[in-house]
Amino acid sequence: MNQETSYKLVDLYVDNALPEELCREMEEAAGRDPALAAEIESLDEAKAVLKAAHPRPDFTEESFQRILMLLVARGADVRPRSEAPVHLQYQLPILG
Amino acid sequence: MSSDSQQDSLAEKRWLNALAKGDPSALGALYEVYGERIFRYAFRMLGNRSDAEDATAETFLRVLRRSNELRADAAFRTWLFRITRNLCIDKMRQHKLVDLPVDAHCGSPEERTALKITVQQALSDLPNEYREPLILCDLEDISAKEAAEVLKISVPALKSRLYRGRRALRDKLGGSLEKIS
Repeated sequence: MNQETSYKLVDLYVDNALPEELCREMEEAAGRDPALAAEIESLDEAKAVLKAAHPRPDFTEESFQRILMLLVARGADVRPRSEAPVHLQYQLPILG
Repeated sequence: MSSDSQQDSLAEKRWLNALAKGDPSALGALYEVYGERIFRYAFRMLGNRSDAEDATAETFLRVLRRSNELRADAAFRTWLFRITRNLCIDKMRQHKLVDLPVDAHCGSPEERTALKITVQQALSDLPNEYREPLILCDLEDISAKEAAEVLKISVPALKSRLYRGRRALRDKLGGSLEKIS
């Protein structure tokens, strides 16, 4: 694999989208070319830190119920199969 | 198609047919199946829980309003994501900026949290054409084909934006990458 080709394939390599044989060739090319190795490493890191910095948002029971309430408030007749937990079923009026 | 996805598809067809006939439990069932994925996507796009809840509710309202036209096929999920995307873009235009997802649980020491905020800021600073493929493919793990359908672009165009987005993110982060990894 020549240098130009290996640089063109960096993104596919980072995405694990190359066949095994080409992966091996990329790894050999990266072993010979520190700049190519650094390019791969930095893109791998960018992908990894992006995921690490954005933990999966929790879809909490409160959010589930609030969305249901929004749907009902906007006129939808929506009945989920599972019932709301007891602590979310009743909204007591605040008196005083 | 795996047997799980075949079963999902059959259940989806049943619920969409029931919805078209006015069965009130059908919207609830579809919300239970897709609510979390739609909420997560909206949260990543908008950066805050309240707007994400609102966009999710509006998405399912649109399902209800268009229940007569909907078909249970592979396009339904893509259509749901596309509706959410359009709603999120409208909200982003109203707010003019994307808040950081402050209520996402990082649960890490202060310094790492600060660096994570740097990454979140870098992502939110990217142009939408780069940010959206990163959210769909790298954060939500949606296939390139499906992400391309959501964004109404070709798969090669999606990949081009995704790869450019990763490079733009890397360049924005600069030295922070070494500290955070």
